[in-house]
Amino acid sequence: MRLIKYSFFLSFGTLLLMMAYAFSEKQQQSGSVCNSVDIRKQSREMFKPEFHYDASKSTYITFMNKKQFKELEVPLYIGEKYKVIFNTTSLPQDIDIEIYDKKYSSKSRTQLFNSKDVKEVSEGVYVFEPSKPMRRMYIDYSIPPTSGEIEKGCVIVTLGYKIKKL
Amino acid sequence: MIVRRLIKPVGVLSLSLLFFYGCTNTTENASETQSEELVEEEVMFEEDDMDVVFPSLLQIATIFKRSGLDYTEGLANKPENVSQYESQMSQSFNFGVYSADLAYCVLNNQTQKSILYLNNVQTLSDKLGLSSVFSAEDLFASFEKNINNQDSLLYIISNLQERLDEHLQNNEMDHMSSIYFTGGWVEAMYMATQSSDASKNSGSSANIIEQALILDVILSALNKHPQKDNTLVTESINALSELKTKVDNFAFVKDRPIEEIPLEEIVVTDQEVEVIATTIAALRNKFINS
Repeated sequence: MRLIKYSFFLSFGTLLLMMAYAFSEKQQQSGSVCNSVDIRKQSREMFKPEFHYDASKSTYITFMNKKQFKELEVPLYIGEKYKVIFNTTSLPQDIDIEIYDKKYSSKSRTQLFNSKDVKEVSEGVYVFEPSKPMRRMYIDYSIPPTSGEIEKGCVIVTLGYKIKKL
Repeated sequence: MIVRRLIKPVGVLSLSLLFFYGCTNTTENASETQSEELVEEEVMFEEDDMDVVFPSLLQIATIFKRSGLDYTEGLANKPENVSQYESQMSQSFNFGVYSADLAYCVLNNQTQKSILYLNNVQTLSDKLGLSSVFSAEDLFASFEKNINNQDSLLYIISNLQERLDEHLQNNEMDHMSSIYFTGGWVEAMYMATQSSDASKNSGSSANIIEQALILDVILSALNKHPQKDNTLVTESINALSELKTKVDNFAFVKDRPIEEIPLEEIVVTDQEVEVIATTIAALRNKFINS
C-alpha cells in the first residue's frame, strides 16, 4: 500500500516539477520580450512637468520572414496638446513608425511623422508633438521581414496631454 | 514482489511524462526557427486588426470641467450600489462608471466622496482580478495624505490609469479596456448632459458633441469584444449605434468626415443635446442597475 502511495506521489511530483519549470520558463520569456515597467517609468519622467499620462499601448511583435503591418487608431480632442513617446528599446531590430491623419485605407492621407526622418531623443526613443489640432491620429508600424531565428519584442507608445489650469 | 511489479509502471509513467515534455519543448523550439527565404510581398491589412488607444477618463472629465460644468450633487452613481454588481460584465462596466465618478469628485474637490469612490474602484478591481493595480503601494494612505492637494490626487489617478493599462496589456486582458472605457465614458457623458449647465453653456454642449464623435471608435472596439454576445455588451452596442446614427444626422456633421469638422463649427441645438442625453441616460441606467 505504501508503495502504491509512493509511486503515485513520485509520478505526481514529476508532473508538478515539469509544470513549474514550464511556467517559469514562459514567465522569463515574456519578461525578456518587453521591459514595460522601465519603459513606462521613463516615459512618465519625460512627461514631467507639463504633461499628464493619458494612454499607452504595448504592441508585441514576432519578426517573421515576411513584411508585417500594424495600425493603431488614437482618438484625440481638439484644443488639447499632446506628447507622443515611442519606445523601441525592447525590439531586437528596427521597425518604421509613421503617423498619419487618416487611416491606412484612405487615399488622401497626410504623413505627420516618420521615425526615419527624426532624431531619437535617446537610443530607441522617439517623440512627436502634433503641431495642429486633430481629432484622430493613426500610428502605423511597418515591420520588416527577417530570416533565421524568430525574434520577438515590443514597441510601446505612450500619450500625454498638457496640463492646463482648471 | 509488489515492489518489482510497481517499479516498472512507475518508471514508465515518469519517463513518458519526461519524454512528452521533452517533445513538446522541442516542438516549441523548432517553431522558433524559420525558412531563410524572405518574402517581400506587401502585407494586406485588415481594418479589423486595428487597435484603439482609448483616452483616459480623467482627461475627459478634465475637458468637461474646463468647459464650465460644475459639480451637481446626486449625479454620480450611489457608492452603496457597489455591492449589487455580481456578474463579471456588470462589475466591469461599473468599474468604468465609478472610475469616472472618482475623477469627477476629485476635479470638483469633493474630498470625502473621492475616498468613497476610490474604495469602490478598488473593491471592483479586486473582484475583476486587477488587485495588483492597487497593491503596488499604499494607495489609500497616499490618497488620504494628499486629500487637500488636487494636483497630487490627479497625479495619483493618472498613475492608476497607467498601471491599469500596463496590467491589461501584459496579461492578455486588453480587450477589457473597451468595457471599462465604455462604462466610464457613458458616466462622464451622463454627468455632462444631466448638468443644469449643459443646454445653456455652449462650451459644454460643444464638448458633449466632441465626445460623441468618438462613438465609432467605441463601437468598433465593442464589436470586436470576445464577449460581444453578453447582454450588457449587446445593449451597449445597440444603444450607441442608435446614438451614432442620430449624431451623424445632426446638421453640422452631415456629409462630412468627423476628422474635418473644426470645434468652432460645432453648433448644436438644445434638442440635439437632449437626444444625446436621453440615450446616454437610458444606457447608464442599465449599467448601474445591472
